[in-house]
Amino acid sequence: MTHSPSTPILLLPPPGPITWLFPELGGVESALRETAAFQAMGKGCRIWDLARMRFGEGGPIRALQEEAPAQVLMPGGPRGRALKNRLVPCLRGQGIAVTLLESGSWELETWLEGVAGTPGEVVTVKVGEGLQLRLLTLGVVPDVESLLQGGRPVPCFLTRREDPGAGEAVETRLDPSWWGLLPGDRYPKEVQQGVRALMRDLYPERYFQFLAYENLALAGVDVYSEAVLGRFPAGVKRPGAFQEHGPLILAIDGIDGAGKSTHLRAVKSFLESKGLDVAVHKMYRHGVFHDTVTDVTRQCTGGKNLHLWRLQRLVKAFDSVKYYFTAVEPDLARRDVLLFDRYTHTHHAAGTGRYHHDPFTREMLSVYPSPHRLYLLDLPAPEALRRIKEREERTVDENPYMLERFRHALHDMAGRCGFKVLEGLASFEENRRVILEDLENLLVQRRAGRDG
Amino acid sequence: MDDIRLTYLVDPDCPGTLPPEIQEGAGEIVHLIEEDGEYVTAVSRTADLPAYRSLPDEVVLDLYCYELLERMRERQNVRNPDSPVETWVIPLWPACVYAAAGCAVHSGREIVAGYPRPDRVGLVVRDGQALLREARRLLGRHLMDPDVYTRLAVEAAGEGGWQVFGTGEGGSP
Repeated sequence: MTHSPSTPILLLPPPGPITWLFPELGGVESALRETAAFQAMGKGCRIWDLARMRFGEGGPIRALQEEAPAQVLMPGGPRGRALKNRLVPCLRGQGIAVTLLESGSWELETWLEGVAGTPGEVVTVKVGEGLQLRLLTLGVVPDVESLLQGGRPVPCFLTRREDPGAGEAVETRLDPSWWGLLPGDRYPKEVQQGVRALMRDLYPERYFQFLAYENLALAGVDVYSEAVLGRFPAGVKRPGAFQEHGPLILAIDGIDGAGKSTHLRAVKSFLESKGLDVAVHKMYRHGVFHDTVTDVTRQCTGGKNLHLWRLQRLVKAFDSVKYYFTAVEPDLARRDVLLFDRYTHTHHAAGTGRYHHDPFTREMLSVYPSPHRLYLLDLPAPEALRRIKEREERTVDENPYMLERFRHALHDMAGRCGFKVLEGLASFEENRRVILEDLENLLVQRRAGRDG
Repeated sequence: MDDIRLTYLVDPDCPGTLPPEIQEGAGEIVHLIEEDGEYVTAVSRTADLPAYRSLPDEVVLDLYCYELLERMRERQNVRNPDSPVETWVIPLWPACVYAAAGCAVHSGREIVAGYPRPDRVGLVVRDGQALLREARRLLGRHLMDPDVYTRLAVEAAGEGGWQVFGTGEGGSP
């Protein structure tokens, strides 16, 4: 059957975080999807059920770009809103309108809002033949003892959008895809502790899963849309195309205190002794940029405003992009070697090291080419801290836990990205010997490649 | 910033012609985001890359909002202490752009909290084309409805007691 571009496509969003945590809700989800599909067919829509369809490279976004319908429709609940936020930038300028359908309980979340009743009450809902669900709709954290009588209910917060008149407990800027899991992004410490205690008591086996979601939700990360629509959609190349021609790109990376600066000087001297024109670059800048972003992230103290950690990563990555066009790109055209004191991998390690997620820094830093060689100076965090303490300048990440997390993230990339890993506890002379030997070989290979 | 009289001029025609009534008594007029500065260069060079087009709108808006903060801090560090009056030009008012772009979830509130408190704010109402031009220059994309932006900016001006210049019709005043 062929379709004209004027036939709208209805995207049915797959189950979201609240169903990931409470699979008990899956039956309701399925029933609502069937209803939505039935109603959509009646309206002459094509249905793309994102839970059932399989897409090729580029995922649903590329498929939509290729299909080029005049209109994409989605249920207007929290998951539809979350997907729309991600879809619109990717489809902008291509003549595809993305519209939310405001009527009907086509999403579990809007259905839950409909059966919510009075917050704090347990509502029993029949969800199929012989099946019923006990739903606890929350405006506040209730008494757990009384809830456990009659079996475990599924707790569901009536998470509302920010409304200054609504009071502190429900004020939120949580991404809509997290609907129902938390009371909001700003609530008193005792409410946060109460929510965790409730989850631990009702569903101890899912407690750590809940904590992981809570961390991501409060950090402003929308894993739902990223999982459904994919990162690097539609023609987006993976970061850092490798440059066959042009200057040699080298980088020395490692956690603070690993000894990067000392080796950088040695490598520079060695290359210059070979008659090469070497530019040293530090993409992690100090001054007003560093002071400002550090002050902004100070608002995270005490576990508040966790979304500002994400902002910090975005801002730092974009500063490196600004630096690229100002300082790196001109040198790519005129120097023999570009030698970097840390490379883009530090950005990635800082993002995934802090909260196991990269907040779009890979996309931003894709302007940087892959290095021909990256030397990773690997040093255990306690030794790095001992060395750092001898310095005057200090950073917020100087604690054993975060340093070890960054180290782990860099290690994780080492295998995949082909880093040359050096033992940071070895003597400077030993590591210098290894690096310079490797560089000799690299230079011979490049010369042979150019001549051949 | 207690030692200067500071005006924010919200003008989506940066660095175009300023209304004459602004120039008088405005002190030094500082365009916070320079035409050929690092930020605008990076935005213009990346805007059409597929990787950047896939960034959510709230990410590019947060970066713009933060850029203003950083340039304000830079200005505070370098300004002439003998000059008692300054006007800082803010091309698009962050809260109105977030709202006109339909972004409800963002970090703008905490970033804007770091902006120095001005003594007064002036809003220059320009036409929709000027707004879209600025959105493209500063954000790399046309992500907002210019009519909604203008309505919200005028509302903000009413609530905040800002001075309003221009009508938004017939191009720049």
